[in-house]
Amino acid sequence: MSPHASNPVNADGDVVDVPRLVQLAKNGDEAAFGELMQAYYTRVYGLLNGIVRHEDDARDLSQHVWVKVWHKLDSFKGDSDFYTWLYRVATFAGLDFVRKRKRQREVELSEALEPNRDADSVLPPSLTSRPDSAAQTAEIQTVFERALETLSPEHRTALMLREVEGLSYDEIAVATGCRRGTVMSRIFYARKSIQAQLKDVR
Amino acid sequence: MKRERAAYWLSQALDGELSPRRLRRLEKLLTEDPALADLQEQWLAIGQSCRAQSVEPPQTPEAAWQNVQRAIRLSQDEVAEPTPTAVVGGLWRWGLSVAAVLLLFAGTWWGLRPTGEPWATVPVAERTQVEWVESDLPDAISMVYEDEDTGLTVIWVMMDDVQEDNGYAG
Repeated sequence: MSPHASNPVNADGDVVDVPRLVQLAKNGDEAAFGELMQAYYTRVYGLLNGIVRHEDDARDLSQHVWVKVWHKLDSFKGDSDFYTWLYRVATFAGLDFVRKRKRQREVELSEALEPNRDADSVLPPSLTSRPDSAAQTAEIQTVFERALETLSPEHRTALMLREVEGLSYDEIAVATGCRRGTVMSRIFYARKSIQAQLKDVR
Repeated sequence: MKRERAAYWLSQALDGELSPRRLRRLEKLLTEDPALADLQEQWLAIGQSCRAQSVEPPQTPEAAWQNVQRAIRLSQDEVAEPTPTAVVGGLWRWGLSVAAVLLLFAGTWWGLRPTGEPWATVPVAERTQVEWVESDLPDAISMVYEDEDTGLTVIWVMMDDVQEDNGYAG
């Protein structure tokens, strides 16, 4: 696992002084904000990609998140660590994006499923065709990715924040705006669900 | 202990969130229950797969910063230099807001304005029709009216020298 989010490193491998950069950025120092952004960029992108499951969307969304963070930085009071607050902004933006995309897809699907249309033709290839099963590991990876996608964005986010970012339950609760108990059960359910789907290919 | 509970504890243990007392019990269970131990292996593998999932962003942080910087400046320019259309639109919105507030105040004042007749705002049809009637009882005042809720005709007999009123419904 990469260094914990509380101690990000810059391009030279030096630990970034986050509180100082946050303070400078709050006073309008763009260069400090740039340094902060670059220190967390990969993490935020990874988190967003984990939520939206689409690289281009994750790239666009992460730019949107950083512009938002710049404008909302005044509202960060320092009650929690900066990365927890940052992940909260990113998580909410990611989940909001997924909800809007889902609504959009539902509209598109309902239009595509009008009478006299072949329903199979509108399904993405990944849902209609099975992998060639060249190697079991590749199949496991494919099933794993599908299993991740079948999770709700909320369950997936909780699991990613725990497994990839190494956040504690309390930090995930702050980042996702829910209770600690909810975080606990979401991660448990996510693991069970993925494991159940992997069972068939092991 | 039920398997489900043990699995729940296992999930918390993998995240370093299980209490030491429960952790000791779980460790004992893991040695006794091969299926639980297998579950632990599978969940550890899921964690590794999650971490292997993390992809590199399509652009370097430096390049991303250039884009974010441009976007920030654009958004600031939009705030700092509103277009003439935006100014006119803003004035219209401001004017409409003021008009709406004034209307609200006027409406509230009209409804709550003091009047000499306490029942002045109550429609005549809603007023309870009370009829004062003669009574054979000495020093008694009687009245008859129809109760709105029950639809019954109520006859009230009030005696000056008696503390309680006597009501009859028929």
